[in-house]
Amino acid sequence: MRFSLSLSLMLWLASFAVGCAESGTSCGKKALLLWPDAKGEYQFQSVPLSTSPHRLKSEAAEVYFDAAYSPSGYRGGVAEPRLTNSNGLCVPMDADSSLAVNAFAQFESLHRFEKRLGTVSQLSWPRKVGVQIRMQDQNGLSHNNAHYISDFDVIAVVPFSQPGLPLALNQGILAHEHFHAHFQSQVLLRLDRLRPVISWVENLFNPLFPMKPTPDQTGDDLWSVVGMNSFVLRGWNEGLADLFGSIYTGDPEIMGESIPQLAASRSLLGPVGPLFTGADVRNVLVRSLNPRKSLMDMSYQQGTQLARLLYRLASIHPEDAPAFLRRLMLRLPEIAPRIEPRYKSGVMDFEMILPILLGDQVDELDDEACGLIEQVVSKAMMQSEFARCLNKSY
Amino acid sequence: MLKQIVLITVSSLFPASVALASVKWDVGLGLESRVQSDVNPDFADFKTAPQLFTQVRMHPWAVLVEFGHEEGRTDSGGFSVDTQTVSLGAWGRYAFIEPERWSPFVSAGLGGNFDRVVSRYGKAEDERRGTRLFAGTGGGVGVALWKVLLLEGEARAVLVQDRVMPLLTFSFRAGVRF
Repeated sequence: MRFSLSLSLMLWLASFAVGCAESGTSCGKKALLLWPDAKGEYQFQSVPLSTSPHRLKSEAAEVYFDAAYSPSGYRGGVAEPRLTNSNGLCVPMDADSSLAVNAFAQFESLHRFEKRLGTVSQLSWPRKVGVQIRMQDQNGLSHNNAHYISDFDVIAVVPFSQPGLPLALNQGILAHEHFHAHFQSQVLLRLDRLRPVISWVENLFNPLFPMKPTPDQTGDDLWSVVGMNSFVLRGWNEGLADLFGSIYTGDPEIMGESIPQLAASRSLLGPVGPLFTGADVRNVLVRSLNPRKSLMDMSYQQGTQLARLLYRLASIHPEDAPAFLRRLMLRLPEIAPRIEPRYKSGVMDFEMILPILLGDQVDELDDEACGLIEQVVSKAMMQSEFARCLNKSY
Repeated sequence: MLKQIVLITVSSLFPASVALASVKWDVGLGLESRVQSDVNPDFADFKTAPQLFTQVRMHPWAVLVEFGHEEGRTDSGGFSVDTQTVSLGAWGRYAFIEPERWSPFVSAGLGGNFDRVVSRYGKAEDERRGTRLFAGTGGGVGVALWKVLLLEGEARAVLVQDRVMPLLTFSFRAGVRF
């Protein structure tokens, strides 16, 4: 009796254990996440996923937590959040788990968005995303930032210590970082022979990842035509990334929820003004006591100006904003061949990108769009690239 | 009344070995240390939590019932998660030697973790209750000093629902026997 009872008990326990191991997905494929509602307010909602969130890996994304990175991406296994089963809903049991699952869900959403846009083939998937990535910058452990690391083609979100929405939960900011991968693959990598300089400039924006400079990369490159043009490129990259994030989320102020001190300066509802010319870029460099910082600030500021114009154009587009975004993104490969003749010969004007991006829409511009463009570009450009607008009354 | 019910239930399971005079009860406190994989599965997390236990013994068999409670808060920026877990488990044991001496034993059991998770961000708040069943096996060694003071240590491997990797737990218990 005792033996058979023991045997029965062990067999039952073993089958139960095997059942447990195989049914680690008992809470299904829906997770409780902090997610924006129809009004854009972050609420706790049940969000469907393509796979169970016990291991954060799918065709859209691989999420890593507190991981080290390498040339092949992140080291180690994908994140395994701690979850409990609440009537078939996977509920993260701690903040770390919630950040990881949320980042995963966001990139699944981005993947679906890009499929609808028709731009998904511009990148390789799954995208590799690191959350709570600990790294040192010049001030110690880095906080309150997110980066696209072009050399590894990964996104890294560092720990967040401000009172607002953690960056790993901010859909607009993650979309912003995600767009940098598009600009990298469709623009920067096509300027192939200029890549070493681009990496050098990226060091300034991502001081967490200092790259060993090649012999011709010194601080004096800042004063070269190519050096200054790299900041123009950076401005375009940042502006288009803000535009992508804003159209994806429907929120023209993606920074505000997490970094309120940047809300006003990076808001796409702010005033639109003329974009800097190449001469203006030189003046920033010549007149500044801290040229590197000044050029970086200029890149962000001009990027915002570009994004504000394009956001307004998207808002009045006859189709819808995502359709406008789609047309812009499909024009990204045109940028490198169009700018390359000028890239080494003279400092580019920030407005140079506009006729490239809007090239297939010039004939469709209405009075309102023409009026917006005229606030931003020079008269010479209006006459050469947007002449159609000059025949309109606005 | 409870003792009567337990004795009748145990008697029906062990008809050949029931000796009512040999039934012993233990009650006490335990400390469970748990090693589990972190959200990054390449790292392990180490947590310790107190437990209450009661055990009924009819050598060489015993049934241990454990009750545990733990809570904690984690946050990032303005986002926070408060978690409370009540755990209840029942473990069957087989002891190889009478515990008046140091006695090794093996165990197998199952139970449930009953979770309450409150997530907050700004004015948004969500409370959910969840369940994670578990089952495991283990082994340990115990002794009843002066036939009254129970001391034991036990290690277990536990499979928990909605956890990819099993947990390793190490428990130390102290109680009284009557």
